[in-house]
Amino acid sequence: MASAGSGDEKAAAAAMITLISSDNEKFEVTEATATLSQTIRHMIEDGCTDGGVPLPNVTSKILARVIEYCKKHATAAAGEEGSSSSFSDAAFLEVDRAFLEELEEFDDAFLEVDRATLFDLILAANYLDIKGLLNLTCQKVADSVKGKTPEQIREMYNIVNDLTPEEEAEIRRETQWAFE
Amino acid sequence: MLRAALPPCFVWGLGKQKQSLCPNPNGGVQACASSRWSDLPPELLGLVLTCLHSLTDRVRAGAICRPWRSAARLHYPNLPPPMPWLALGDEAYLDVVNGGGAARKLSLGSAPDDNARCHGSADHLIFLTRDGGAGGCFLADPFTGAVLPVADLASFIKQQTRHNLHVLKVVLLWPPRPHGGGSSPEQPPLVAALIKNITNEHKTTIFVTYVAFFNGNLYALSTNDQLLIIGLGEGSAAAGGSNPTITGVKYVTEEIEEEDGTGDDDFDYFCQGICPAGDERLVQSGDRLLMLRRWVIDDVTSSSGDGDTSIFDVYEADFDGASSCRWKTASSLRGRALFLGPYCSKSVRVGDGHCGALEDCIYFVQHDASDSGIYDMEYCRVRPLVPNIEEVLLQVQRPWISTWIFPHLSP
Repeated sequence: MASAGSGDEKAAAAAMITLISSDNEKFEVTEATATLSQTIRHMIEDGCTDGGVPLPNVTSKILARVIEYCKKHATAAAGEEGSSSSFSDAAFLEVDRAFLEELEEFDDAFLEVDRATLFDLILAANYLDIKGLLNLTCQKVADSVKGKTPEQIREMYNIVNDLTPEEEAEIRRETQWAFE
Repeated sequence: MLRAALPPCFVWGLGKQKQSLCPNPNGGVQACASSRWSDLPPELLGLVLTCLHSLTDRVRAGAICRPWRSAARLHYPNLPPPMPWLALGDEAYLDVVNGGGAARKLSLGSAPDDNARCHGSADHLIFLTRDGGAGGCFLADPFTGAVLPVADLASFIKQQTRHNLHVLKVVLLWPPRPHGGGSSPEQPPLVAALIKNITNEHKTTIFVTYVAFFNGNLYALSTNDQLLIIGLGEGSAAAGGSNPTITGVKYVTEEIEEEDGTGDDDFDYFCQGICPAGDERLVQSGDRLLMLRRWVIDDVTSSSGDGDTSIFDVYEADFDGASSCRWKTASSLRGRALFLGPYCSKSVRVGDGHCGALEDCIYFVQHDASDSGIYDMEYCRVRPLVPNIEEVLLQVQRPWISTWIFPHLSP
């Protein structure tokens, strides 16, 4: 970004990309929003986004959520870049903190989804290679299993225990302390 | 990176239609009664495991179902180290993540019996002696039950029958790992023990309070905070083997050189009713050797004479001088965390997926864990290690000294 001239940068920010979900719904987003996805960024760099970017693995419901995330984080990133030169250090810190707090609140609210949606968001974040969203969603799963017993985790995620009695016995033998 | 490791189409095959393309590494197609979560791609489960800093949580996540188990076993060796535990007693270990809870039961194997006493720890090992060491010295891994006898130390202590010896601290130096080979059996570490001798027959004795390895060299702290380097040489075959021997002891620092203004700090401390505890510690932290001075609340009513820990001053050994080095004040831990105690101290990297400890914080514990906490260097404040440490301590059946242990497990 920094290497491009400011005129080019403005033009790039205004350029729109069309994303097409698996159920054929079209989403118009700015390039700044779309390039939070490394997968799409590479497609743009390769010049193969004319006529829209088909995403056969992402449903319109999930894509809408992913775009919501990218829009917010792209704006925050742009705001941070813009502010660094025009504010004094103290003012910059203040703005920075406000941005971070707002983003955190957004992320918390964003993660208020059912487990099936969370699963789809993780897969979409991985497929589209959006590091921030992938970390956020995986952290959510980790937070939800902290301090829980295997039975509680299975119930929470509707996972059937398919371990054989031999495997169960092996786990207990090696790490009995974790299950008491 | 993740995409490179696992093509998206494969990930998606798992995600979209779980009954069609569900390649199972063990062969065959999974029975699909449970939700799609059981088929979370292994790479993504690895990311989830990286976010879990408690060893207990990691082990439990690996015991949910077969796909999670195989993914967990795949990732265990490459995960950042989990948070350390606090050993509180025989079979009582506290996982300090997630607010503590109750102490867990770990067994130390069969070799050290009920008469064995804990004298400290180093890395993932607890140091135990029987009859003060004369009856045997051991390093035991409470997570696996593996026991490593330290026979030479035991025979040394046994020979010194006239003296009443007491092991104060044990530090280990691990041989460098062979390149590329994680599977070769671990070489035993070099064990250095600081031993207290009740009777003193030498006029030239230097009194040493704490020891630490730093960049492969053994350093000690004298009672007046001077740093000493202990020269180690190959033992002669005539002396019975190739154990290193102490070849010399050399002072490397002068007494603490107070920088401008630090004297005022001391005065402030006295005004606040706190005084030095007089138990400085030495610890390698990244590429620095640190000395920590503990200040305690001056509590005349306390039975031990010591009040609770209030402040830590951190000094860094400045080796820039040609021949000697000096202590200079360190204002941060440079993004690391310290786990500090009388019997085991270690610095760990934190942040960016590393250990879940807080940056620039000192997790301290005294001989008795009722004086323990997390000291934040930035705000100079202490907060509890876990909310219910007193309750946990009451439940410990056979308490011993409190000491850190750094789990080392790849199930």
